[in-house]
Amino acid sequence: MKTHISTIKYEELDFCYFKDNESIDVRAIIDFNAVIINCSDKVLANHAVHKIRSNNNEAVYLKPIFVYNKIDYVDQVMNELVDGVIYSLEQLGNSADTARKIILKSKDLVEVSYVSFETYVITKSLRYLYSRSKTTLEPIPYRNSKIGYYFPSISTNYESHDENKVLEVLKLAEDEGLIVGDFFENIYLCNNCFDGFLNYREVCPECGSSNLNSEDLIHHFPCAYIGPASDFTNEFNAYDMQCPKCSKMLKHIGVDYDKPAVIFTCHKCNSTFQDVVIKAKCTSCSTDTDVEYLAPREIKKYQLTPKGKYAAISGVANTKTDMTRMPGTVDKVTFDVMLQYEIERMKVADIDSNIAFIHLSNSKELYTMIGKDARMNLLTDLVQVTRNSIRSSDIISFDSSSTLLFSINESSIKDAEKVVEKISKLIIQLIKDNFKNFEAKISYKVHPLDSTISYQEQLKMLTSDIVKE
Amino acid sequence: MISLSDFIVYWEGVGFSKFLRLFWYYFIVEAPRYLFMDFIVLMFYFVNKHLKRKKWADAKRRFFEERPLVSVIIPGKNEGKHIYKLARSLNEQTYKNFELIIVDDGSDDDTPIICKDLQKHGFIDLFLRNDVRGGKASAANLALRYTKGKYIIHFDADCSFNRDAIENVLTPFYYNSKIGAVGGNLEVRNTDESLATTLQTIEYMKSITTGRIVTSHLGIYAIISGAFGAFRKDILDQVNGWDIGPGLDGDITMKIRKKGYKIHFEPTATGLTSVPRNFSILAKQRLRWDKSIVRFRVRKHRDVFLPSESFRLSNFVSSGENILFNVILNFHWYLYGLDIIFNYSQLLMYIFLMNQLMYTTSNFLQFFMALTVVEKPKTKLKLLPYVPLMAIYNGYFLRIVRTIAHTRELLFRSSYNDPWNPPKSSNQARRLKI
Ligand SMILES: [Zn+2]
Ligand SMILES: [Zn+2]
Ligand SMILES: [Zn+2]
Repeated sequence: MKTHISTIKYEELDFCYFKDNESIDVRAIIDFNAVIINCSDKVLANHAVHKIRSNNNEAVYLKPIFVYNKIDYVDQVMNELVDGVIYSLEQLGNSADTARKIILKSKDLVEVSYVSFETYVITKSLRYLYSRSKTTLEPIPYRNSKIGYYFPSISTNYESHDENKVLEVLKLAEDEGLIVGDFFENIYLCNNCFDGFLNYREVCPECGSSNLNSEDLIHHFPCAYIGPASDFTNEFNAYDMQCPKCSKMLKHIGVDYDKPAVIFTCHKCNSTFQDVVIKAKCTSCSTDTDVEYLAPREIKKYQLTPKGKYAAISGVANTKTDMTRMPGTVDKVTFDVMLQYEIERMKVADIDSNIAFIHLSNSKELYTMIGKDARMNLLTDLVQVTRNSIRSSDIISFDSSSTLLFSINESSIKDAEKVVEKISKLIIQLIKDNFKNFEAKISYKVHPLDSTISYQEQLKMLTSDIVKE
Repeated sequence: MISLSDFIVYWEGVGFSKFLRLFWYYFIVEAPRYLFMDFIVLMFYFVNKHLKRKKWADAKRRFFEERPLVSVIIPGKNEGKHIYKLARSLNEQTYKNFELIIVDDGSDDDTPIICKDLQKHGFIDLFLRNDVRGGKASAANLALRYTKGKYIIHFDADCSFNRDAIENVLTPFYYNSKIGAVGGNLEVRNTDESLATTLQTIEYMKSITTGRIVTSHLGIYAIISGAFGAFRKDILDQVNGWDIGPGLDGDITMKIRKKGYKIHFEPTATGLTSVPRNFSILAKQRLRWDKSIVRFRVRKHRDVFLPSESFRLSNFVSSGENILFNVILNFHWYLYGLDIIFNYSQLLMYIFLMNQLMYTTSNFLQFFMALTVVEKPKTKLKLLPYVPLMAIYNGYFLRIVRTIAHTRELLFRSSYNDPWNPPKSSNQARRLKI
């Protein structure tokens, strides 16, 4: 369906202008300098903003957005996700200034190939902050968020049911030293679906019902009778309390009687107890959990570090956690060094060597599906399979969690291609065996190493062929 | 000092009438009551036990057929450290259909934590707690309020029980429907801990195991020990549970007697209890126990001595025996002592030694009688060397403690100041003269 897009020109800038009820075609906005959203409906406006900010294309998600606000619907989250609110088109001058600054800063950003989904989200968020000259990543209490807190530039990348993963990503970024966190709040999430919206109730320890009756226990000193307050009702006068054992009227608390404890009776199973159990019922999945078994999480307020600022510009290559000491591989730095040596060796010896990559292009889909633990296991298996198919003099490294780099030394291009092809097939088979119905999309390429060109150049040439999703 | 030969020569020369004059107290009061009576009753007990063994087996069968729910209640303060062991010994019982209710009367230690944990793991069925201490009677009453069983067994937390203790303490209810409450047997667990505990072991063998078999057979068994007793729930409801202590175990026994029920002691239902490990703690314990005799038998339940519609000879004798031997003759002993000192001051040493000799002989005889009724009599033989000390333990130590207790209670009503009850309860009890 073809969508009509209105344009507002302001000096050298083209604003893409969305009005009520127009569906937003995010691809169309790439060509504009900024976006103005004018929806009288809050939900529509929200939807539009989130659609842009969650887009995978940098040219889309970094786009300056302004909302044209007639009624007061800009909440704290929206405020963080847009670059300004305008009340009439005469104010466009201010917006234009803001947009220019963002566009200018965005030009600093070096293009990088995305690695794991987490590093991609981190990069994206860092870049968003950088382009807006912001240095803090603040949690916003937000009832529409699954965990009750929203980190706008990160959370918007997750579907509602996956929102708890935002905290994992933040931890990853903190571990990498890209951001530093400061305690903000402790929260407890449903241990089944990690939802933060829980109903806390006092329930019966026997049957879990919250249909409870609580009564004071009354101790009558003169006769040592003790029982719930209802034992002391006087049938003639509702305001009097009469001891069921000695028939005396209770006179004065502390003198002839006291209330040493409280006792509960369950209306459902009739059991008696003094300590109720506090349970939290998840409003989303209905799991009823003892509060001690809820999943605790720490919400932090983050600050960009110099390393984080640098990473915003150059991109987060891959995180240590992604690929810590994967047995059988070397890290990227070592790989680069060894590649340099190989090139030097080629200059003195008459040998053919090759570099290659194998890329799993639908890795994001797979990794999201299988979760973090399974991903590490998969990568380990992957390396195992690969390692068994090549010689020990060949070197493997991860360029990202979806891209393997190879240095296949002292081998003809034909042999190298055969090896890489074989490994690709093995990987497809491995993923198919482990994750039913998942078809891995694998691309690979082998390049003969050229002793006259720098290793950086050659790697760049090689990886430029990586098929991006 | 006098030599052995002097001693023998002297007593050979003393005639029968003078001997009786000097030791009438022993011959007329103590020997008949604690030696001859015990001997005769024990004979009857064994004959009876043999003759009625089929009836007993029948009762047990009916009990297991009915399989009533039993409520075990344990009130206490700061008893947490004992509860685990106790719960385990209860878990091992041959009779399984019981609920365990623990009432924590305002403990300030880890008791609530321990008990809540045990409840979570199913060792305790109901754990109740008074944040403010109310006294033992109120704690027992609170437990009683929430019992569901047909029979109530009252235990002390620092006891543990033989595997068949519950079935044996309940069987008498099926043996004789007039039985309203059954007292269990108690032996000492920490016999070897100190001289004090060893002597108490011998004392328990005599006064609890043997003594209660005897009083139970005579129908005058007066105190179902709070440490181990079983009650019919309907009767506890009739008497409205426990009243303010100390001595609430003797008190409730008398209240049940007054309702016309029999009180039975069951020697085969055995529990082990830890006794005070030194004489000063022991003295404090006995001061408290002994005060209650005056407070309850002489004062609160003095009506058993008065002719009235509900007058019963057994109650009269039961209480009378208690007061006579524990209170009146206790004081009389001092008169006897004075009499000897004034009238026979030169013979003091001869008389003292003879006295010791007779009481020691008596103690040996009682010890051997006790061996016929206690559990594992062979293991008790190692106590033999300590039996001679019992003359001093019983004759002087316990007697002096008892005298102090009675005097204080009679003259000063000191039990009302006993920290065993919270002051709020004691104040009310004092005001209402109960
Ligand atoms: Zn849930
Ligand atoms: Zn009352
Ligand atoms: Zn319930």
